Amino acid sequence: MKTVLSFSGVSKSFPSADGTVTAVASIDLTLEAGTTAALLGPSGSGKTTLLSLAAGLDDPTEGQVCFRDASWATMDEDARARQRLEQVGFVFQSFQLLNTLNALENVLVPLELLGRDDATARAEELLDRVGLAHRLHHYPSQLSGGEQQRVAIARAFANDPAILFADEPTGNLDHGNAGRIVDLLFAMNRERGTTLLLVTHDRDLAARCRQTLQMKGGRLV
Amino acid sequence: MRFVLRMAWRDFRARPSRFLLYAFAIALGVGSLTAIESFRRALEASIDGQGRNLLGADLLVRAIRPFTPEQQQLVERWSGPKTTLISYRTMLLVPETGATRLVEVQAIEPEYPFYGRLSTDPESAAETFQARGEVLLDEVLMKQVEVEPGDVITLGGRDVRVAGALRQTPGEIPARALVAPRVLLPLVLVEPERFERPGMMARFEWYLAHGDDSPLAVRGLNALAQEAARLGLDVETVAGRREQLLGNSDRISRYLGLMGFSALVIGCLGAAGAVHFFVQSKRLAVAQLRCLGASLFHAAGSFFIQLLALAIVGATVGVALGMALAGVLPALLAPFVPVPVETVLRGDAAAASWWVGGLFTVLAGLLPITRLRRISPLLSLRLNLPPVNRLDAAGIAAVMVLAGALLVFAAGQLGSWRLAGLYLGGVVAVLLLLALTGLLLRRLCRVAVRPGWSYTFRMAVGGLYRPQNQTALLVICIGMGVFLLNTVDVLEQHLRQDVDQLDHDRPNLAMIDIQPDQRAAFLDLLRGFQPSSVYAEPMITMRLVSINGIGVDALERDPARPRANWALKREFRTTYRNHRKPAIETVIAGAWVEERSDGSFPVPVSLEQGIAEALAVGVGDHLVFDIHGELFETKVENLRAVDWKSMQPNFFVIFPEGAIDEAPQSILVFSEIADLDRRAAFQAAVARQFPNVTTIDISLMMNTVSAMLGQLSVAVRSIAWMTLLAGFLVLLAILRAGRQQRLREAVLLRTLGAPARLVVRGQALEFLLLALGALVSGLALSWAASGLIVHYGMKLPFAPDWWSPWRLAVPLVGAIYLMGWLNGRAALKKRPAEAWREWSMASS
Repeated sequence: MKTVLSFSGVSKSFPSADGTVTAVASIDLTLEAGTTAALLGPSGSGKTTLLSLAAGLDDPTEGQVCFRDASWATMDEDARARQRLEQVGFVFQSFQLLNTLNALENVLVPLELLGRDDATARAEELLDRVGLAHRLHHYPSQLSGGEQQRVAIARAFANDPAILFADEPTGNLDHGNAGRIVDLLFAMNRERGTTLLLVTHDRDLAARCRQTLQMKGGRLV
Repeated sequence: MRFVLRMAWRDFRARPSRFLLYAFAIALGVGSLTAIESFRRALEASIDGQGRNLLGADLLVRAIRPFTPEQQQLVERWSGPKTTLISYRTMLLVPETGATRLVEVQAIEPEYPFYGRLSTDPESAAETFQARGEVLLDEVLMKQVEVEPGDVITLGGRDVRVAGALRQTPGEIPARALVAPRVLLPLVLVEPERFERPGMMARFEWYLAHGDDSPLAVRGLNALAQEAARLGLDVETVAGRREQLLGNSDRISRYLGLMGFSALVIGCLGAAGAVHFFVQSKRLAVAQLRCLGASLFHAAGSFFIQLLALAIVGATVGVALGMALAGVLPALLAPFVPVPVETVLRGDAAAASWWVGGLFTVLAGLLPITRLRRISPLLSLRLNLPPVNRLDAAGIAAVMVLAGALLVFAAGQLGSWRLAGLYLGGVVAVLLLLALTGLLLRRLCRVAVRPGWSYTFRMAVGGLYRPQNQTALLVICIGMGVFLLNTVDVLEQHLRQDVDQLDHDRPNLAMIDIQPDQRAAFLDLLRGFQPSSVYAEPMITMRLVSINGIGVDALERDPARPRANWALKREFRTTYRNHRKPAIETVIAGAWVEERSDGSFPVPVSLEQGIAEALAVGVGDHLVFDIHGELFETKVENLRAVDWKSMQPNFFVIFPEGAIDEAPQSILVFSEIADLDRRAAFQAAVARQFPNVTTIDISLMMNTVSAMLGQLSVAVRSIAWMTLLAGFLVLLAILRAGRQQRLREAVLLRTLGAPARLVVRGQALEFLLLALGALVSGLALSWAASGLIVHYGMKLPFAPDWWSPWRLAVPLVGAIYLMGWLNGRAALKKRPAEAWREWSMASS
């Protein structure tokens, strides 16, 4: 299997009033293409920091993060953005939809950035896939939390990403909606062979992943 | 690019009202500028269009005493068209009503003017008055003394019939008629001997024209002009008159231009503030787009496109507004300009203002746009990531470009880099001080809050230091408007006080041209009208010939010691006495001359300190004066400070008694007759019994000046109000931007069970505190700046009416308080769940 993401000796520290705070320390990690991995750990254990390093949103203080054999460190901000546009999908705990755009336009964003001619048809197909064909022109404020997260999932899969990062994707949803969202995520992962890295507190959700990574005090345990 | 355009459109579509509000704030700044620019260009075009009509001839030579034989010969040698004009002041009396008025008589020949025409009512009067031996009176004068065409008036003791009203002569400013109303009289009616009386003030002019416009004629007139200047005559050409008129008109339009520029600065501030808030509200959206893989161009481009659209819409609406205002300006400023300005809807001014307004909006918005570069995509994951506020290289470059552009623009408005630098420095200093005040207000709110205060008050004070509240920016926007309006108000107060001061408990009548043999009879007549004060002094006219042995012509060209030309070439009106008037005269150098002159030279004289400065002389210097052909060598014995506002006879040069007592002289009398009717009756009696005497009613002149000031201030104030309105709209836009945060707090309070009145009062009180903070800082800065201008620029004691700003303060504070109250009420209208949804939409 091909490696999609690798961490070699990665640490991340922040300056603070009380000195330096180490958010993650000495992380070595490899994710194979098509796998599903859950990142578990209590609040403050460094999960979100690790996710931001994995997606090239932040730089490590030490070590190297490679995405598809290329180090994020060798890319400038626009090159990283291009890489994310073509290879990465995101699902956030608070959905992070653009509120001035309706559901269809939110899904269109990555497709239009890629310059795809079939952008609208593709966006409509994805929204249909997540069960929102009847909500294409609704704005985020007119959608329920579960519906917003489904739009976010449709957007995340719009560019057929090599890897999808999901940060607490069910954290803001009730039990019923959470189940439906997780089913959808795993179904689309199977259909498209996307690698999935999930940050979660939910052990049941983690159990559905092939790999479970436990973090504590900034380290993988 | 298509993506950027689409995103810009989608973003605009979501909140068009916010966009339009920002655009209107910019439009007000551009509107002021357009109106003024249109007026200025139309005025220049009108002056240019007048061509030779501005002078009525190709060359004018002038002297303030009858031409010498040599000068007369020079003019008479000119074989082309020429005509003469003599102007002098005299009293006009209407026998029927007893009304009197000091007028300027212009005695002309039928040939005047060669170019242009006399505008009269009826029109035929301009053609017939010469042949019939009648006179033309300024239109405003006819109304003042209530005469009609055909009525008989007495002018300097001679009865003449009025042919009609004079509307305009070539190249004259209409406001001149308010101060010195004119009477046009056929020259043949003037007796030449009247100008031989000592003290008689007159101006003698020759108007000359090329005739056939041949190169020979043009060269000939140029040569004559040079020769006339050499012989000591004042020379004026069409080009010179044009420059002078443009210069005078420019002072008004440049002043207004600066006001317009200030409005533009406010507009820029509004644009920068608007874009700043816009960018602030879009931080998360940019981070999301970056996270989804958008390049910087794609993430920030849509906001730049919206900025361009804001500039285009703001500038376009502003030009339309400005055109409407430009229609009003000519009527307000008509008395102050030399030619009628009829059409001010000028395409070139509109285009220039559109570009300037649009460009400055974009430049002002660049700084906030550069901050988009520094938004990290990480914000999508960490919502509490603090914004980076430090200026980076791109931000510094944006500030420098804006400052440079403002400097270039201000230099264009003022015609001077130094003044532009000073003005811009002043604006920046005021902005910085207002920003500092805003920051201090925030800090003060943080440390001053006491647990014992009511919850509503603590909530209001706490609101002012809430993160992202932009207290400093609000203080700048409102404070700047207050600053401008109050500064204009305070300066006008001082101008008026200065004028009014001359009118109270001081002589209100000045009488000149009284001959020595009329002195006793004249003073008897005056005392019959119970004056509260009488000051009479002899007056002798003379000219300066040399200083320390160097002639005035040579001194004029002396680069080593610059001296004021007006002082070197002026006619000095002097007196002689050995007593000093301690109440109005103070010796500041040397010693007062107390002995009569024994007839020896040099004669010790006293010089007023201002004229001494202008002539660059001091105690001990030797001055030679020409008194009606006789040279008097003098030595400066002392320098005097004079209270010119005393309205007593004051003189630049005072001789001791015994030196020039026998020189041809007239008597100058100043007096006060407080009662209006008695004053009018006295003036009528003087016009009848002493027709050669000129009476100046100072109260009347002061009222006229006051009225002119009032009219000018309307124009200035309209611009200043537009500035404040622009600031107010910026405030509205900013408050709308912060509305969601306030809404959230209000809903939270309501959810927690707070009563409605607490929410409404808390928000209204917060706005009230903000308004008061901005008002107090704007007023304080305004008083400081106007104090400096009044003290150093106008040389007056600074005594503003501290209570006059209430007219500005009450509506301003009231309006802002109302906005706060309405904002609080709006929060109560929504159900908490609905408001939460709205907030969650706006917060991302």
